[in-house]
Amino acid sequence: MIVANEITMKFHTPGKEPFVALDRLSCQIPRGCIYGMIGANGSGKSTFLRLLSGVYRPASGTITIDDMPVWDNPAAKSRIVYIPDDLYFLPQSSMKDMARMYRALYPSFNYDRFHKLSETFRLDPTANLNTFSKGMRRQAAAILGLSSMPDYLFFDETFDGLDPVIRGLVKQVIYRDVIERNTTTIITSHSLHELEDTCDQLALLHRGGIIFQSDVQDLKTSLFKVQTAFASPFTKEKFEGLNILSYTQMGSVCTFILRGDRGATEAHIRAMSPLLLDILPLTLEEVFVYEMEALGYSFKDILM
Amino acid sequence: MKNKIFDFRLYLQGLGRLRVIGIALAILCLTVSILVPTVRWLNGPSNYYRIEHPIDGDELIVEGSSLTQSELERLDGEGELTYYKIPETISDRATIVPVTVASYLSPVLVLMMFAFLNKRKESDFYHAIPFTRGCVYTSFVAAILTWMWGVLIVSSLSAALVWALCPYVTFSFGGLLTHMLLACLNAALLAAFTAVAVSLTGTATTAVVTTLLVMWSWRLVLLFARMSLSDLLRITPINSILGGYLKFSFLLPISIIVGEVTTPMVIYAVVITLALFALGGLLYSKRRSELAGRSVPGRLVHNLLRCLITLPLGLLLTYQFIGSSDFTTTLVVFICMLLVFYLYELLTTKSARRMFRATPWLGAVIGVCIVFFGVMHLSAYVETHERTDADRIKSVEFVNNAQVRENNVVINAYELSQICKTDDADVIAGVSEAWSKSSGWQAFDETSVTVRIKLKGGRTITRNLTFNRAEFATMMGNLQKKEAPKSVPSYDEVTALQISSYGGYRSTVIRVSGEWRARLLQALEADYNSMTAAQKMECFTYYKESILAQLQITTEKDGKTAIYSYGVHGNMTRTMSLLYEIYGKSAYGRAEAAKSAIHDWDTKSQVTIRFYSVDGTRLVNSTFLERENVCSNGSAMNHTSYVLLKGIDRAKSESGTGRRLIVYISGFNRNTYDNDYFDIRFPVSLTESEWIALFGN
Amino acid sequence: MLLIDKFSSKPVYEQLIEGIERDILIGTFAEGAQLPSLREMSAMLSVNPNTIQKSYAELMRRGIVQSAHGSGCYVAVGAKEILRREAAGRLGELSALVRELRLAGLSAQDIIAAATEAANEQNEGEGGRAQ
Repeated sequence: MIVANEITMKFHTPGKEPFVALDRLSCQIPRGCIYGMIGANGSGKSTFLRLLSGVYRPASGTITIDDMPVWDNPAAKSRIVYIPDDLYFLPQSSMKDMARMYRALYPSFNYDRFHKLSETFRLDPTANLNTFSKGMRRQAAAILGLSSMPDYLFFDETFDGLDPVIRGLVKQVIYRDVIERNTTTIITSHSLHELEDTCDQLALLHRGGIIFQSDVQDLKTSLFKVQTAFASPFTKEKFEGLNILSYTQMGSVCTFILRGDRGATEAHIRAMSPLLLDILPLTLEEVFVYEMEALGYSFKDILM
Repeated sequence: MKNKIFDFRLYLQGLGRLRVIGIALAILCLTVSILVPTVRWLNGPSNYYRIEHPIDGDELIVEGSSLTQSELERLDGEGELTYYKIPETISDRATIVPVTVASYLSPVLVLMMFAFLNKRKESDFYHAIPFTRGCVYTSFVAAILTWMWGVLIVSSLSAALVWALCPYVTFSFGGLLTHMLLACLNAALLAAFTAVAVSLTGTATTAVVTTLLVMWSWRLVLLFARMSLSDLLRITPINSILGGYLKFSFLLPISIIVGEVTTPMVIYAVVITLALFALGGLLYSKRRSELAGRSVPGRLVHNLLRCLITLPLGLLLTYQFIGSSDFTTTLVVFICMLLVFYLYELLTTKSARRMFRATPWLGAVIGVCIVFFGVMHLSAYVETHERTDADRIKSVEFVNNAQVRENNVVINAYELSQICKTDDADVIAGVSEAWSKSSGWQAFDETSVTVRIKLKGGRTITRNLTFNRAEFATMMGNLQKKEAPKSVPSYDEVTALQISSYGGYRSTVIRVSGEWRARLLQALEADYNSMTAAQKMECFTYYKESILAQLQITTEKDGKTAIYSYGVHGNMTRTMSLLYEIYGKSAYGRAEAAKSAIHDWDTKSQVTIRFYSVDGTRLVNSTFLERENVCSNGSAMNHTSYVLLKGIDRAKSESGTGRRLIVYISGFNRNTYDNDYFDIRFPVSLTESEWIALFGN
Repeated sequence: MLLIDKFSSKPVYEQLIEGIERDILIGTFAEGAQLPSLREMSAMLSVNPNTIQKSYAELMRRGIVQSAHGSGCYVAVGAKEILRREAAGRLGELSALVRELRLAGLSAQDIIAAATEAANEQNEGEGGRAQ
């Protein structure tokens, strides 16, 4: 389990105020979880992953993996593989060369998986990585990471560059690892869609803090849209007692977004004898927008 | 996974990282190391020629070579002066210079190895791998040193091999190991400086700048210390402080170039190499990975820089206070210091407000300068007040002091050092008194001598003390009488002996070995031990007319090489007799050459004749003849020449009864185009009447 | 068969539960039969195993599914009965719908005809409520 406790990360430029990349961020990621993180550029996703991998050291707060601090701790680091957004390979190396290196670094490296994945993904392990396209390089990095059989695997925007078929294949491998070895995975992305498909937990990062974290599926059911009309004039007060996030009314028809139990809400409104009552589901994106607005943010600012 | 401090696979990877430059360096180094001796080999014997003067007949004794006269190329025979191409004795330095130069490239290797610290991608990668930072550091440093030392050692050995096989040179293996180790140490030291710098910075340029800072800022402070102490200390020779620690060239990379490496320097280099590598490791472990690629330095370097920019001026200002300086200069320096500090702050922070907020750092610099001031004065105080009584002194030693030479002092302590390490009570008393009275100033009747005083507690203090000349001479004379020490090197210590004579424009050399050498040494010792102190002093005054020739003795003892020069003058009868024989045998003294010189008197100009009696009755009589004199005083010259000619023949067929002289003639050949110089020494044997005719009694 | 639409607004685990319930009722999974392992389900449907785990957990809570230690999940004996009982509880929704339709003007006969037709269709093809 990953436990981050009030971690703060600052970047210092002498002569200027330090830039706070992460501001007292706390979260807990259980074993076996596939954790998605979404946020704009500069929100701190990569910084967070670097802290988790032991590349950075937090200015304050603690980061532990299975109760071990990560910083300068080979015992912890040998169970973590971090695949950054900006990939690095040894100069003039092939996948095979890198595999050899990974084998030296991670004793759990599995050559069978490596060969199988290389074959499945149709990549030549002996070719110079410089000749690969950007997407192929991402695939190579993913293969190497997965073949290392780590307990913790971090993908920093790796999926954003992969085509759907490959994405599906990688997902399958991740799922298998979750089942067999309880691997914990963190995936960061710009695409909510992507994360929705793969992850079971989702977190929104903004300006160095997690402003929103939830089970993905729960998110979909946490809010719903109600459209209803009444014969007699009414105002919002009619719905006193309901947890309404957003309310619009045009004439005798009102539309509002509310949080709560669907069945109870339906019963409650029906009891008022409406002319019409529609309860509509929301897409994940819509859920996000309304949750953000409720928290005081404008989603457009955050994701654009 | 245990927390290893070194990982072999990482080390191998490190070796691989450097393979391109390592191999390039190896090829370059090996090529040059082997090429130089090979070229010399192909050239045959060296280009440098010397005049060799055989002693025993025509047999050429060439030291250090296995080649005989017939194998050497004869260049020129002008009369009895024979020129040969002779092999060179290769000094260890000359052999290994290419290798030593290569050791200065180790910072490049360090920069390349740790280049990953300057790029975000690579830096993150190497910091994410499951090894402790310390482990990565040591493994990579080990790889760097492996390449560096490997190249240096292999090149040195290859060069040595070729040199050893070449028959035309004499190669001394003694220094090979020393120079190899020095080169390795130099490489390690420079690498250590760079290792500290790369851990502190994020780009290659800032790393280079920081390396230079780390290397030279302390030396700069020491430079100012040296300047200050020169002013403050009256009687302490600066180079004796901490074994010369204050010298700019104390740092090994410089002292190798200068050519003078002492043991304290080596020990210091080893210590700081280890310390710096350790520091580098510590800094690497604590390094903030975010520094990668950012040319803005980390906080530590930033603060260091802002202080170090101003420190030189601050120290200069302090120096104004230490030395006596006028108000205007001090004020100017002060203003400059302020200007530099604030200007730098302004340029880096681009804000006037922040510029003033940095003032505490200026305070820090000033604080350092104040401490510096205090330390300097404290040292001066200690020096003034540490003089002790005679009963605390265990022994004294008079050492070579270059300053003393320059001051044109009659007594040169260096030569006396052959007799002057002593624990004689009188000498110690004299030294103690001089110590308490010495102020650094020297009166006209005084002499300044460098003395190494060994205290009973074990400390050794070196001071320049002033003695009254006459008293010093007496003290030394008494000492010599008491101790009668061995003052001529023993035969076993001597590695070379040559008779050199300075004739005004060049010196000529007769090399002596074997039986002649033994005999000369014996004669010299006997003569030397029977001389008075004054006569001994005479012996060591160079280029005086009373000196016939110099005996230059090279000794090797305990790995130390020393060259002693003994002037031979008339009082040294035994030595003179031997020289008489040697000159008689050498080509240089061949009778025919001597005669032709005398015959052609009138074609010579600026002729000088000196007579040295062998039996000690007459020291010298110098006659300087111009051509005009030859003509005007023709009869006198004719008479002299006549006597000499007869004397030459008599010496040749010596039956041992005459009054013996060694005659020296030198001058210019006026008629030849290039006005070339000649000089010759030859034995002459005169009858009693000829003697009186020439000299009067 | 189990069809999962990951981008529908219905949570995947709900879809999965419904699908399994349907399969149990149809008979694809007989009582006492072993359900596919997490691994098989995840691979088949390309669904996050944690999600599948959630579904199974929910089904276990309701008594529809049992886990034998270490060897996977089995359809509980009496599962169909439980489902039937749960379905009965939802008749109330039908009443509410009927009332609404009546309000809208549909005749009782039309409503009953439609209901009868649907009830008879149940045994053929795929069930599943339209959303």
